[in-house]
Amino acid sequence: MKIQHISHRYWKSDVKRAFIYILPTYLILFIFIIIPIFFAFYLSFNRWNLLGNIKFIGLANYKKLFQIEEFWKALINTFYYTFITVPVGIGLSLILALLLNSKIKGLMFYRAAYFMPVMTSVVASAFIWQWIFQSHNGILNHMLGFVGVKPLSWLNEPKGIFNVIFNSLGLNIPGFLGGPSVTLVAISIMSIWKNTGYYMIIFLAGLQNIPKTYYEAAEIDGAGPVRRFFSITLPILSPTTFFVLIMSIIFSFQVFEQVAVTTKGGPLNASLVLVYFIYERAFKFLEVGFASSAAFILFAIVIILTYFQVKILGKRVHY
Amino acid sequence: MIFPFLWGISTSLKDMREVLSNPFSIIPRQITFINYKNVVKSIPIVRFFINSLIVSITITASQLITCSISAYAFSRLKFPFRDGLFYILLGTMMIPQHVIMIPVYLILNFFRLIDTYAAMIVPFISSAFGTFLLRQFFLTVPKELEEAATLDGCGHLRFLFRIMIPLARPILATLAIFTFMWSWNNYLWPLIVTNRIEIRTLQYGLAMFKEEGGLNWGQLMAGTTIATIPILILFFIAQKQFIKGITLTGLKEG
Repeated sequence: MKIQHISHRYWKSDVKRAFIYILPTYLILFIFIIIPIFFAFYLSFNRWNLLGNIKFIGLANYKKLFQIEEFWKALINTFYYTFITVPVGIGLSLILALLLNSKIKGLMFYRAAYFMPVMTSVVASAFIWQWIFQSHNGILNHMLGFVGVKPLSWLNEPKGIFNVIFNSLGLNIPGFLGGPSVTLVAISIMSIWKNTGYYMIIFLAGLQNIPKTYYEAAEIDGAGPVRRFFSITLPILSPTTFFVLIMSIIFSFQVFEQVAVTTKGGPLNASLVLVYFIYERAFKFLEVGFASSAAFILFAIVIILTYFQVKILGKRVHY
Repeated sequence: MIFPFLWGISTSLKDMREVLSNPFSIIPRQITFINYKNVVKSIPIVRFFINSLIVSITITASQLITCSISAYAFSRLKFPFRDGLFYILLGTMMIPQHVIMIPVYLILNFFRLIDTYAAMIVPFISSAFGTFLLRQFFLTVPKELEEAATLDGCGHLRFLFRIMIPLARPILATLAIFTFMWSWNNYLWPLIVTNRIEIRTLQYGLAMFKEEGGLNWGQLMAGTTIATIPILILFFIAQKQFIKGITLTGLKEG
């Protein structure tokens, strides 16, 4: 009886203590994440330019979104960006991880070299790439010149990449087959360069978890390296691959800084992406309610992706 | 992968004439520090550097403290709604910053904090991610340790700071490095909440000068090098923590 009484008292004093301990963190989360998400939801049904009164307009913001061409452009560009960066990024990082997983000399050096772009700020990497992408005196055009490609103004070319390729072969293709603009492709290249090292590290960790005995057994059974890759590595790695896939899609939908630093969505909205659209509407045109409705479209996309991630990965813990 | 860096650094070490006449060679014909001198003279880059340090260090230090304490509560204390509160915490980690940037701006504006250091710091002095990361670690510390300490008359806070935190040093280092890197490299937030030149951080400051056409390529690359060096130093000191942090958490600052 006595013991129980004591432990109960401990419990009571713990309660007060616990709430004091978590207070700072929850204050921050509450003021800067939880209230804002409801506030954003509320704003998306209202018209407000920060100065006048907030006016409830129902679904009008959402209706307007899908009526204006600019939003469609932003949405399509974001999809294009995802379709370019995600598969190329995953492929590259997997290849690099496989190469680095074999026992080569200077592993630390290579790992550091591939990881450097991840640590560099978007601003710094954008400067370096703007220098590489220059239309005159740019190193990329200079190198492409050796194989007979005419100089492109990489960050200022609204034409579709397929248009440019086919035009240079003397062919014309209809505009809707033009594909993503050259500028968007250039921004995608920059992002792939920056993020590959990050996914490589995750793949590398996944590879190192595969027991060596599996490979030894397969080798005894006479399986070659290609067979071993497809029968052992790829299946065991599939949760990692799926994790990287969803993560990189989520991040690619939130692309912003690359665009903000280099092109500001231009030329002619050729590199306008979803978050830049939100930013511009909110902080340049002060259409706060309208921008919030676009933000909620983004939120819906991210939530759906997160749902798949949680659902399919189930209880598999990555932490 | 590494070539863009080498070109960047070598461009920063070439004088203006060589940047134009010999742009592609990695080794400059003549190494000069004129660009570094000029960039320090023509823009308040030292000020930006100090601002970035103030913001990043404050955020990192306060996150280490607030997250440790709240993680301790979640891993060691029993209280009502604990699991519910923890799920809310996990839920907030899924909300992208870009979705809530407008209301957060409005809230900071309501408190009259726009265009101050506080606007860049306060929203980030604690984080769900840090709390989560440390809680996971604290749970692995054996209960017997705590019981022994309590018998010796050690209070909760003393137990946390004397025993738990020293044990958690590697994971705290990981959290510190990622938080510092994130706030050092952050561009979006200073862009939204600051106007005054004096309080701009390095990333935002450099981007603005680039936009206003105030710098040539050599100077720009010198500025870029200055902005990147602290993170590179950090990386080479704590490479293991970096790698571990990523593989542990799948964390990334998009």
